[in-house]
Amino acid sequence: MSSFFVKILLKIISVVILFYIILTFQFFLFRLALPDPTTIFLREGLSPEDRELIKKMFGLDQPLHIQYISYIVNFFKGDMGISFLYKVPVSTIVFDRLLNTAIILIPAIITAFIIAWKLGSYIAWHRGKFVEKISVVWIMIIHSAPLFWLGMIALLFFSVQLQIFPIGGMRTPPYQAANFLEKILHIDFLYHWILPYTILTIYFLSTPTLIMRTAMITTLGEDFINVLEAIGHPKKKIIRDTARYSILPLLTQGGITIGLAFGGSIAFETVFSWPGIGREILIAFNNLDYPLAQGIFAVLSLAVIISNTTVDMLYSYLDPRIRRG
Amino acid sequence: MIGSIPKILKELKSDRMGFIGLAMLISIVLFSVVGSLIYNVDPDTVFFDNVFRIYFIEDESNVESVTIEIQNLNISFIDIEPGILVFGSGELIKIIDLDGYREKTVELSSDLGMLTSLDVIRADTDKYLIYLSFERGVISVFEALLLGADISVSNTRNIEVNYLLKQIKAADNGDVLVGVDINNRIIFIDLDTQTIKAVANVGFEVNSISACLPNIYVAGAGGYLAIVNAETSKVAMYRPIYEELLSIDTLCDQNTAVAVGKFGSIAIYRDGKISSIVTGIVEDLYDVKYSKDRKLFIAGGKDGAVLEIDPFKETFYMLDIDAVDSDIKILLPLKDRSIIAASFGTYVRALKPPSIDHPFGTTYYGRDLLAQVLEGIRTSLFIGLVIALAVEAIGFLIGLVSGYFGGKVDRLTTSIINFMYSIPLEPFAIMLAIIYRPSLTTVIVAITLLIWRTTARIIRSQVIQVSNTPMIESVRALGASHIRILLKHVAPAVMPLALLDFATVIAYAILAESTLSFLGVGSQELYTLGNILNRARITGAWREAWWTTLIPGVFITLIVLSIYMVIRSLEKIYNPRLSTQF
Repeated sequence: MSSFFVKILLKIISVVILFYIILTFQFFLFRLALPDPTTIFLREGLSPEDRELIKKMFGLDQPLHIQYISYIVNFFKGDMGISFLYKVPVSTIVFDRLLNTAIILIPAIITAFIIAWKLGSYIAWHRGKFVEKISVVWIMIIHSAPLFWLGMIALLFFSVQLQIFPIGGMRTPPYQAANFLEKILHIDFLYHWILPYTILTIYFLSTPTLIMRTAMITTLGEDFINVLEAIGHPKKKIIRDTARYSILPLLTQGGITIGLAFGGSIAFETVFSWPGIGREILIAFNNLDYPLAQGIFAVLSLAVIISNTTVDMLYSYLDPRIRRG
Repeated sequence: MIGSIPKILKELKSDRMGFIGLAMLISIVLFSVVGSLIYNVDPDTVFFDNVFRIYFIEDESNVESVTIEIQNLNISFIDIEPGILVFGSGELIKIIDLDGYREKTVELSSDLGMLTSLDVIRADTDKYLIYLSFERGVISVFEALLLGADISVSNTRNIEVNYLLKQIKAADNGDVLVGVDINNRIIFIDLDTQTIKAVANVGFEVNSISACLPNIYVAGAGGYLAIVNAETSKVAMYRPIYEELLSIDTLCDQNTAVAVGKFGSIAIYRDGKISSIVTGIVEDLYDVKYSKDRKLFIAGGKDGAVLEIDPFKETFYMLDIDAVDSDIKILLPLKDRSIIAASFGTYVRALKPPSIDHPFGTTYYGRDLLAQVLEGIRTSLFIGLVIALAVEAIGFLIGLVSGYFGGKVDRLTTSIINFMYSIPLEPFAIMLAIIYRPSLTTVIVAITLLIWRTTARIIRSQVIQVSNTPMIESVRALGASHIRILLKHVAPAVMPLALLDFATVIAYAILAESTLSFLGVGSQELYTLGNILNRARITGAWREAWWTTLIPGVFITLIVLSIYMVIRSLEKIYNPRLSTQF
């Protein structure tokens, strides 16, 4: 048991190290390309004294290595600087937008994987039949389409043409909400949420269904299935058991998907005007808000690192062959 | 690598999905290449329409309108009389019968040069006289009869005046013409006696002229208004206002004239007294006419503004006509208090749905979508190919070296690969675009830097498998060098997998490129399918015009789908276990 905790500890240390490398990478990427960030975000007509003052305020008058150390230390403390655009700490914006993204991404991914688990095993069982072929073709079409474009088409059809869903956003303005829970515990939120949620679910369905199908087909080819069939085991029970047996690759994929989805839904959130973290980095890009963009990039990278590591640990926990090896 | 292509094609023929995929991909490429050759439209060309609208304003809430689209013709001159509308451009005039909408085009003799002005008067119930002036200093008089089924037009006479007249106006039932030449001289022409004389030079740019013989009223640039006596050549100059005056009309028996002009300015002349009104609520006024019925002047202007101007009280009243939204260039009050107004202008052919002229419709900026999509397909495929080559070069080499040599090299490359796996693609591309500004290079570099990791991982594991086969071990035992083993034995064994991965990377790169271009990270000058969608988004066109959204996206999907279909069937052949996922 103790070796298990050591393993977890090692994993956490590796997460910290990877995150540290990302921060370093980001710091030098910016500083080498833009030695003086004040030149970009400040308009003309600023006196040299004012510029020095602002440099001092942001700590830009310090030597590079001091800046680097304070940057890393502050980041680990959760201080990502002040947003140029919003004039508030980046961390508060990032936290708020992260929740907005999570409230739509995580339910969609979970739903998609549950459906994929069922659908994948179903079409694997009916391999070679019409229902399998048509499902695979549709899944491949969805898999080939850009996610943001699926969103645009859905909005065009349901919101512009039929006008049964709102054109975007999280709530109909103006609204008052003291906190996140108050914002989402409202029928109006659900009304805005349902269309992007459905599109995301359909989109995230494609990959795991194909994986589940492959895994099921592999499992169904094993000898013990033949034995079960031969001794007259009910078909439904065989599917259920095989599906449970084949869940491992699906879990792996699920973990990876969640990590990547946070950074991968920028275009989708933009199309739906969803005030999520992806849309925020695009806003930062359009307004040249460096601190905000850096903060979001770091958090999105952290999401990927954590999910990849979790998948690693989950995999080794669930598959004893790997745990032993 | 090349040698394996015939084999692949042979295998593909036996698999239906792969075959369909390949056929789809080839047809899309052919569509793009052959389509561009046949459909010779530059994607940057902006299309324009000359739109001509006639409004019949019964009263403020009762408006009928007729829209006439005129291709390849710039409307330069226009005049309306009850029942008829004539406009001219270059070497032709078009006559439109306002009661039956019959139209007739009259080609003019090119010996006379370009048309410089026209005027129409009604001589009888169905008989109209059309006066045309030409570049070579000639006036042509046409007679148009609206009787019967056809409009009959005949040229009655040509008069050489030897002045290039930019404005002409018929007076005295058409027996007298007054005009302005390009040097702003006022010309008096008696058609019966053929007397032609230059009366005076007013010295300002004349925009409009109206005759109450012997007085000729002119208005023009700088807010000047002049009254010229055709017999004595006396000129009375006024400058009631500083804005350019565009149109003038007179009420002869009361010695009254009203001129209107830019920024809603109005100048009123009455018996030697001049005054002005700045409306402040309307923009440019283009035309003014006296309405016998209302006993007022009516002026029309920008955005469908119609004003009643009372020259005696020096007041104006704005009519509230919602149905007229384009600029009124000319108007004509009729007997029953109704008004005919015409607007014409050149408009960008924006967001037109698919038609024969534009099979895929037009974009927000009036460009042809088909031409853009044809180019977009090629650009997107090319970018995909470039990225795939770069990715394969990096990933294959690193995978090969790392898998073959193992040990420290492998540990180093594996940790680099693991580090690369913790960077999300789209945010990374945005970061690059923030620092280095959006460009095609940014897109290619961002995607390449973040996909070689998968290629390297796949190649590495395959190389490890191949390196441990007895064949390689025996070659090594025979004393072959590392380079020889790698080039002669390992690389060829991994090649089919690399080829498969190459195709996968193309598909993935096309999807990634379109997403990044959609976000505005790519070059703004190029036409890629993602860029076309980005333009549809930032102009807001995608909500109004389904074709700007649907068509480019369908092509992205079809290209990626066809590549995936080929991959799936190749996968069955080469590596049943490889997933198409990243």
